[in-house]
Amino acid sequence: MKDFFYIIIGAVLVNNVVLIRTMGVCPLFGASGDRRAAHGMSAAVCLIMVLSTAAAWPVYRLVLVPLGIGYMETVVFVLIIGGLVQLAETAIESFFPALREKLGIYLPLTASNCAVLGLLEQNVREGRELGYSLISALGCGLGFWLVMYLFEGIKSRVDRSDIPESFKGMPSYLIAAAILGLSFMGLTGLLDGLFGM
Amino acid sequence: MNRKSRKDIFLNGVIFENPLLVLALGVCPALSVTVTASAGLAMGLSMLFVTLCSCVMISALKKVIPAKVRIPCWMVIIGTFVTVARLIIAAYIPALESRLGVYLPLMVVNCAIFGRFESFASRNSIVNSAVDALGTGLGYTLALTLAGAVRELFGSGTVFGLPVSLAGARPAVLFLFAPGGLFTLGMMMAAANKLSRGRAAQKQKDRCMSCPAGTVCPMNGKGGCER
Repeated sequence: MKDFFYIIIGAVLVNNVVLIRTMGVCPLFGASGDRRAAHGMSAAVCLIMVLSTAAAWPVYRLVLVPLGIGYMETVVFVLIIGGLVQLAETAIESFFPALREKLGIYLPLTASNCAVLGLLEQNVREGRELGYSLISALGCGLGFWLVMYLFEGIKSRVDRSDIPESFKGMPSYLIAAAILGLSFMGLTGLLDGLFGM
Repeated sequence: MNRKSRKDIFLNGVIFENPLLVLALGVCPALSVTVTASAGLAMGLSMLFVTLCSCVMISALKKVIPAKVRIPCWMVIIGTFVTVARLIIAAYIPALESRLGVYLPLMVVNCAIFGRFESFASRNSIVNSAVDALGTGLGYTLALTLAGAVRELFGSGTVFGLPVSLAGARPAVLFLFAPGGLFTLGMMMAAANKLSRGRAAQKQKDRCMSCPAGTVCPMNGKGGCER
């Protein structure tokens, strides 16, 4: 249980996927047009991260490595993510039509999200076991969700403030994200303090 | 097409539609690996190689790939060239491979490259696609190297490893971390906006067609992501 919280808190607050490891930054400035979109996008990313980790881990360990073609992981992972996105979309359409507007329409966007592919690559590079990979996938997704939600509020304030013409849009978002990233960097020592490890 | 317009295609990619500074595509690698000017240059050159090879391949196969499954097909093509690039780098410059780390395979889903497939390579001749890929790749390389140089200058007081005087000021280590990258890129984009008299911000508004998710995105047709 202690390990579970160690991994989750580490992935959400200390090594945040968006602000500290800078992966999956595009949806931060894009899809979070309103609060519902931010939640829908984040839930879709969270879902696909856990599902694709569950699918990619056995494929890598039981197929690619024994065949000696571990270097093909990028192509295989991309196809796994693409297939899962398609499957999840069809499943939502047929079994939970009510979720379509809230979650379904954001699923295709996760196929081209580098945070998902980055997570799978990270799992392979660090040689994580299946349980560890799944928990860090959940933590990674929750970290993405937190930043999307926080930044959605910041973005709407930035849009309404009076800033120089050249800074409007992307430049102001990037600088606001830098300041948010600074506050996340302040949490670097959190794990040592909490768990004494 | 005559020579003049090929020159236009090339300059378009390097300056007028610079993927990073004008179109604001492919932001992630620009934030992470650009800790030094040489790392930015290396990442840019790998992107140039991958973009060139995959754009030529996709342009050659544009009549074979059905429109409905084009995105998975493109992902396999680009994934192959990314793997090639990674194996070459791992064989000859192993230090660079570990430096670029996970961001090298992440080129597969880089929207700066995908944008060229969607908006150019899939509808133009092979030679023109190659010129376009060279221009875009070079523009991306220049932008990454510049970002790397700025961060290296303020973060460690050197440029390309050569010490540069900061007029007595101590280097701010913060520039080497993610917030420094976000800040540097934000400032560079504001400068690009100023220099292009607002044209860059306008281009970012109608960039849906160059986004890999553009065709399926719920924001498409509603004024894009930047509403």
